[in-house]
Amino acid sequence: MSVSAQASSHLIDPGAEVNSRPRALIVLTIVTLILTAVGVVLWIAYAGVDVMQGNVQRIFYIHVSSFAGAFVALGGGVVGGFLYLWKRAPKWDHFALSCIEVGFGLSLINLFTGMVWARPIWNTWWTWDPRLTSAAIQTLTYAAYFMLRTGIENPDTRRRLASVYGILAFSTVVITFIIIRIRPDTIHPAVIGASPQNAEGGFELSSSMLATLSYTMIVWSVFVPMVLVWWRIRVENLNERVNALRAQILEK
Amino acid sequence: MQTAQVIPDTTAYLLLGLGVTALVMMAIIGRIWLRWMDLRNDEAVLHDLDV
Repeated sequence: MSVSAQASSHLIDPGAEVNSRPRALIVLTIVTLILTAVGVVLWIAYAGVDVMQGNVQRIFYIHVSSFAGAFVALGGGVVGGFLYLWKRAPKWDHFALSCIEVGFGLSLINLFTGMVWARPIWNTWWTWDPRLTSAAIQTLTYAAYFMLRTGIENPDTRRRLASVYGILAFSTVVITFIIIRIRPDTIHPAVIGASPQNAEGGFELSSSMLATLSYTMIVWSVFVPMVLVWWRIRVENLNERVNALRAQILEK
Repeated sequence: MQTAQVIPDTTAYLLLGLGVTALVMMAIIGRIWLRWMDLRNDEAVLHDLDV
């Protein structure tokens, strides 16, 4: 089986062999680690320092990229949710759950790195700015997704409601993305495109900064979510197998 | 006369941000790994019971 065929079968098939470690996943994990390390080297050694903000400006390479990764992963949750509601196959619920778990983690990174950047630049860890508020609501909305799943006993009901919730919850991600472009009162700068008129702490992207940001955004929005979601799906597949084995023993 | 611009020293905040990122990534990966090991253990016990 080719590496790409192996990748697609293991990604979406809960019956895929979980004992073996798919070669494609190992290769993808190693490639992702290397690409991430190269990204760190780029933003330390190549991108250059912002003279107004100092080294803390470099945090934007993670802050922006982790949001891009969260956007992709949580978008995967929407795809998984729709496919589950359509096909009613548990594998799509596993896919959605894995995507949302990874997306939630990346959202936390986005939120925390933003707070750390804000402290020296805005002189505060937190302010109820529209962008920060929507990002906090987004993270809390997805935290509630896990509580919802834990609170429902029946697997079919849990999967159905979680799919609907996962689809609706994505609206918070879209709002977080567009809010700095539609609310003029936000102080959050836009890294790409024109910043709002009240933005504080914005900076000009030099060509080396833009190249580095583009690179890290690709790594964090394609490779990082893909490899984490794939490993997470393997856990769900194994969980499914253990549950089946447990049921089989109880029937005897 | 030109005065050299002083770049603010905000390296500590950069390191804090990197630390937080590493912590969250370790939590994501650690959770996957622990759950995996837990399930493998459950599977082995169930196989023993089945035999």
